Amino acid sequence: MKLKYNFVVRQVGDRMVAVAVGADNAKFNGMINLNETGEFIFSLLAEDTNIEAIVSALTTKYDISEDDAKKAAEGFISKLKEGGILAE
Amino acid sequence: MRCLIADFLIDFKNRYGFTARQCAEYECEKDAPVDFEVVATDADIQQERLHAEREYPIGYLENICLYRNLALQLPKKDSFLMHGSVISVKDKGIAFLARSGTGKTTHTLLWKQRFGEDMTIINGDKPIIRFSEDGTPYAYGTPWAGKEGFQVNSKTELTDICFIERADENSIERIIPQKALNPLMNQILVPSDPIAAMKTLELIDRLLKHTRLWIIHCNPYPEAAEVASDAIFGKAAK
Repeated sequence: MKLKYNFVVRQVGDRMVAVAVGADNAKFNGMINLNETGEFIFSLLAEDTNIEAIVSALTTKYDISEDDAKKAAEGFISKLKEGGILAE
Repeated sequence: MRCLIADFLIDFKNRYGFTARQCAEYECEKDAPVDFEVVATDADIQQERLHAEREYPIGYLENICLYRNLALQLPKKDSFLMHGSVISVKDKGIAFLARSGTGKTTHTLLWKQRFGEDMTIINGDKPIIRFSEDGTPYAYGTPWAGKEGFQVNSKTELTDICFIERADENSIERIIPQKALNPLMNQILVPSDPIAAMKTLELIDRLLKHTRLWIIHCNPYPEAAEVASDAIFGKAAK
């Protein structure tokens, strides 16, 4: 799975915000609020990847258990799917 | 035609008369390098025609395309287009933002009723926000001013941003930038060019830091402007 669109990500106020750019700007005219792990997972999804690889990256970067990483990844990914911005 | 809008020298390559008439008050013959050259291609106009809900004259469609194409370039020079109404009253520059149809214009007019000659509507619909070199945000009048056409060729320092929400009882609350982010982003055109998009986010970040942010819960009656303006001007609530 990977993100359907191209995004730029930047801090605005005390939030990280992603907005679609390029030809995708017209297709996804909204913004996504990201927390720290969300931002990390979001950046991983710029290329095609899978949940296992994301969980590995999370456990390495944040020194958290595999269970916690899986929960975080699945929660965030389901939100992206709901938003219709994730391609299987 | 050349215009001076938001202190930018802009060369509109308009082919139809509508824009020439609409921008007449902003025309500027100054012979200097332009800040922006703005073109609306036949493809842009055709695209606009396809998206319009009704049939419009071509000069009007060109006019919409020109303003959008200008808006997409503005972030390069520390500015952007914001959908909202901006007024100047006493020492404050106040923006009212809301989803279309919420009552932004009604609320603006209630303030006008209250403050009369002490208040100017800088632009009732699509002002340009531009940051000065020291980082202060200013709202500028533009010829694009919505159906009522409220605008003056002038500017005001933007001190307060208010999000308008309908309510039965009037009240106003000060909010933190985090809470203002979503409704503010909804009223700003983010360009598709990645560099301009990133710049727009940077400018929004600056705007949130430099202004006081409010939600005005209001009904369409004069008391709405009293409650909101008393809080903004620091008068104690009743």
